[in-house]
Amino acid sequence: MDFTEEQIQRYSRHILLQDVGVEGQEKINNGKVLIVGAGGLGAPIALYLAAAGVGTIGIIDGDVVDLSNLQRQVIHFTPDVNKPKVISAKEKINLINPDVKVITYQKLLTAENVLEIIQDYDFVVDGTDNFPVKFLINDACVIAKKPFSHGGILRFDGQTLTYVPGSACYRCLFHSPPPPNAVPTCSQAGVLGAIAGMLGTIQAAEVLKYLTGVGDLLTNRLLTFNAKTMEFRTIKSKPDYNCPVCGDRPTVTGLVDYEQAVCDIESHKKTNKMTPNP
Amino acid sequence: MKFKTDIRTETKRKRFSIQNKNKINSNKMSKISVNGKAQELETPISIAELIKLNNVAQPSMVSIQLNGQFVNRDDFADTHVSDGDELDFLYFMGGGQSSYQLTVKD
Repeated sequence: MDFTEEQIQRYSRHILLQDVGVEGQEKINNGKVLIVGAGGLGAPIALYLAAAGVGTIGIIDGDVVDLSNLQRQVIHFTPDVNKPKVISAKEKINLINPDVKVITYQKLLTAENVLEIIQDYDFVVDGTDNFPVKFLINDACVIAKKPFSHGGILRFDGQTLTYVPGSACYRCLFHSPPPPNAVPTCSQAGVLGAIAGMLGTIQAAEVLKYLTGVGDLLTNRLLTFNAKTMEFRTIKSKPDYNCPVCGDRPTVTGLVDYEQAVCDIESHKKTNKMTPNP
Repeated sequence: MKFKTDIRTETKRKRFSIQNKNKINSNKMSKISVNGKAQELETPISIAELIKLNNVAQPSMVSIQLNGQFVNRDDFADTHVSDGDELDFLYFMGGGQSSYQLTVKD
């Protein structure tokens, strides 16, 4: 790949890195990454991968931008409210970097479409906000032998792991999704906005490490942090031989859409189970 | 059917005796670590009891690793910890949408 003068300027800070160089930057420019979710995690992931020059970024999200998103979904701005998230994301990605080809999927990822969608990508990033889809992404990537990054945030905490075929998958640590009725209704928990940036950017770094082959990926490890104490912990794990999807006797051989918890402010008001956060 | 159940139980027992290398002594003080923090307590103690002791708010939602190995929820009551064991209590983190009262109260 021949870089233009402008590209050499643009990516100079990567090229200067001994571990990356021109070869590494080429690998990034040839990379194809799918980001599931254009929200709290998807936003910083998309921004940093765009800045890095990832050649093809796929982004899937069925939602439109909501005012409450702007507290943390830094790829969306005030004028974007009510715009489809994938459109808003694509605009900003290309403003940062016209080199990037953005493929948008304005829909939800489901058991029916996941295998087809992920097949064209080198790496999948989970930037979703619910467990059914997190488990779906895990199962699909294990079945399709697709490396992926799992990520989740809540209140002041974040956790992430990276999967490559053969390493511990999300189900090795969490065998099955929590039942929807176990979730106290809704967005009561909240999340400190910057946490999304903390975790999402770690995921973006993992993608770049994967594409360039630099460093050690967060495989067979769960990185977890609590931003209140700024304590970061790495929990070692290994593939569980009893894992429902990647174990010796898998019980998950097909993909399903788990039942979603109903999650909206109205139902929260009716049930009155939780007192509002101060 | 009954025969198959017995085989499964036997296999479970063998697996735990491999996992819990230390013999379970009657009531002694042991040092373990939970989420990287040292705890001194009386053993033998089961994982189920340890969960209660640590005030885990939603015990049905916590995922446990004992010395780097996933422990099946069905085995919490039967799996005992001993001196030097390292446990990790893992919690679901889904995102801004879902909510769990998961904090371990200190």
